[in-house]
Amino acid sequence: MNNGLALFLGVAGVFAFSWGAFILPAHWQLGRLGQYRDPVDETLHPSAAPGLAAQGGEVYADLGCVYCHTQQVRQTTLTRLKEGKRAAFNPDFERKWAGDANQPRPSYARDYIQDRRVFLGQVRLGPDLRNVGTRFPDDQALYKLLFEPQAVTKDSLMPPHAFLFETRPIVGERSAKALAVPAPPGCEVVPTPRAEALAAYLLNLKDTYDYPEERRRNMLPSAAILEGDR
Amino acid sequence: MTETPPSQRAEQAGIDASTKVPVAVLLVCALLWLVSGSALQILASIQAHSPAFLSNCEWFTFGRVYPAAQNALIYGWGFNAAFAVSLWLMARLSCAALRHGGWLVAAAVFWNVGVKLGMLGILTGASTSVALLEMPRFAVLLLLVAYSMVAVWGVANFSQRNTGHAYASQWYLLGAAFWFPWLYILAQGMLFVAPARGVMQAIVGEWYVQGLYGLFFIPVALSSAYYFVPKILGQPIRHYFLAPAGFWWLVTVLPLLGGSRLVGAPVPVWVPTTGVAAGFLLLVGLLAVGLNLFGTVAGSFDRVRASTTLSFVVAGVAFFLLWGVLQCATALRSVAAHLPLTLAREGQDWLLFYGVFSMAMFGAIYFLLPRLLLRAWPSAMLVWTHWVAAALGVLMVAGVLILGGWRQGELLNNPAVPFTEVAQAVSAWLAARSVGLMLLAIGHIAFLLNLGWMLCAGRAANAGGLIPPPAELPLAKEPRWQESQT
Repeated sequence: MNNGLALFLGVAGVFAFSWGAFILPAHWQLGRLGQYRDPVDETLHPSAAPGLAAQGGEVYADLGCVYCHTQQVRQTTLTRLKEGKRAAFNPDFERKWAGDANQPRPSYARDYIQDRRVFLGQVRLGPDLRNVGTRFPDDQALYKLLFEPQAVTKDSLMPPHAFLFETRPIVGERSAKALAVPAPPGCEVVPTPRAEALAAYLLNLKDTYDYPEERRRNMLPSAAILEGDR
Repeated sequence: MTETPPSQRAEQAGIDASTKVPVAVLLVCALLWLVSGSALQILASIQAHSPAFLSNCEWFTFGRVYPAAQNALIYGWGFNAAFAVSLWLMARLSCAALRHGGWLVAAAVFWNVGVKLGMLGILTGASTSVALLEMPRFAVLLLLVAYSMVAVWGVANFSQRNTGHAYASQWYLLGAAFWFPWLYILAQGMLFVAPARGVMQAIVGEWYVQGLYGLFFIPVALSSAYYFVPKILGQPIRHYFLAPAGFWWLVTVLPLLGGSRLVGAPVPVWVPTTGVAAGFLLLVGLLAVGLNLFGTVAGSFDRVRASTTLSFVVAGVAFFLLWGVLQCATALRSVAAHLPLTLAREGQDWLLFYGVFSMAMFGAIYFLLPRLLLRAWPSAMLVWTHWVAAALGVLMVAGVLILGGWRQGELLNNPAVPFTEVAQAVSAWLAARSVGLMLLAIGHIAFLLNLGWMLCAGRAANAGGLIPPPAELPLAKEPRWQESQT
């Protein structure tokens, strides 16, 4: 350990190992994932986000939504007693965070291949947003939430994003985009372009297409657990 | 305690003097970042449980203040302190004066301007939202230029060493000097220059975060522990033959832990599995380091308590062992079902960055500044306040986040509990975190006051004034703050 060159080579070797053991194989494995062509209607999945939604992704990054919201439906399978029998369940599914309530599924690596930036998130201080597009009927509902979350859910921990909206005097007719929130007389609250992009991004977040191969692979563990319980 | 012969002592004083200017500049910057960073941390933490607080101002929305606070602590305080302590330690251990150290002031300026620009970028909305890589591209280049200057000086100093051997601290420092830029460049490249596709970005991101802790901050912290423990106790490291094995084992295993941050995520299953396995392998490395350091300390705990530096450094080593054990405990299946995507991860990171790294740096700074500036720390009371606030504060912040995270995970996994109730339960724990952060801030203010007092009192003394500088500062002897008061 006294030879500087040997020490340097060891140091370089350690780094090369951490990259080679961790990043390289993952890249090799994930880099081959491509879009899936549906055999029936020949559409490609997942599809790229439309322009406005892609811009909204930048707003999502700039406002740091990722520090409270995750974008991943986990495949954690827990068991609980139900009518005297142990039954497997997925808490994320039961919270309706999976896209399709009738056929819930966890997030797959393939779901993310078209995302310019992936926001898996670290902590769930707010609900998971991977399928938020399926939970909100339109952008108006989202605007209301962004403008004043506490008016939608009383004890919400979400900070208001009133700066994404503009309060302006009504000139002529009321804007079609105006929010149904209290405003000073003769004024209306309208979303700024950034709010519109963010809403477009959020509404576009929905993984409703199920990939046959991933479903087969990912559904196995929970089935096996039930099998073992019997 | 070891008595250094007078001739060597003169040489050591010369080496210390050669590092004086850059180290002092870096340390003052580090301390200012520490205080401003902890103010931002408190702000973000209050916003987390009182969402209306400052929410009208876009610059200070939670999603921007939180990453800004993290960056201020990691890149502002963490790196400046690591640079200062590493340069000084490397010069001392290599028995070689730091040549042309004045140039490093330029590096310090570049680094701090880079961090400031990056923070400004985050607050004005140019954040990338990738953990610990939030700074926009324009700051990154500055940081790299500044870092390479510091690293070149450190490595050059090592290669000009006047000793026949390289000591454990030097292995860690040399490794850290190379690992950080490699990590940073690869992560920047794979995330922003030529972005990897899909969840590969998440894997690279977690690899970087874990690498930053495991290949930079932990090595710097351990290098100072390996230096100060034997130095101040005057005993050689026990079981030193284990040190090389501990070094290679730790630095090989630590970056692999990144996988454990992705448990349950939509990534190939072997990624989190590798992380969990690495958590258990870590124990071997911890055992070697623990035997080395605690083996040396064993039986001399009263002397550890009496020494300011050692009370910080040994607390840091203890936090490291605690963190390692927690890392294994959280990998157990029954625990792992609850902890992912909760506050617990942040709690563990606090233990690592603050409990291990920052504590070691505090200890080192209390030792080296009096020797560089030839002035004593003016207030023992402030030192004591700092130690108590730091140790209790980090235990509280990490403990609250880990226990709160456990509760949060339990509630999240019970679909019968509506999400708003989970959020309410969590907000109580977040409020406790704010209290813990305030405790830390008290310690930081005490530290800053003491430094300011030291600098001012020294000037007054030079002007024929109040507190005379210590007549003879024993170089190989710890300036116990009880003594230095006189």
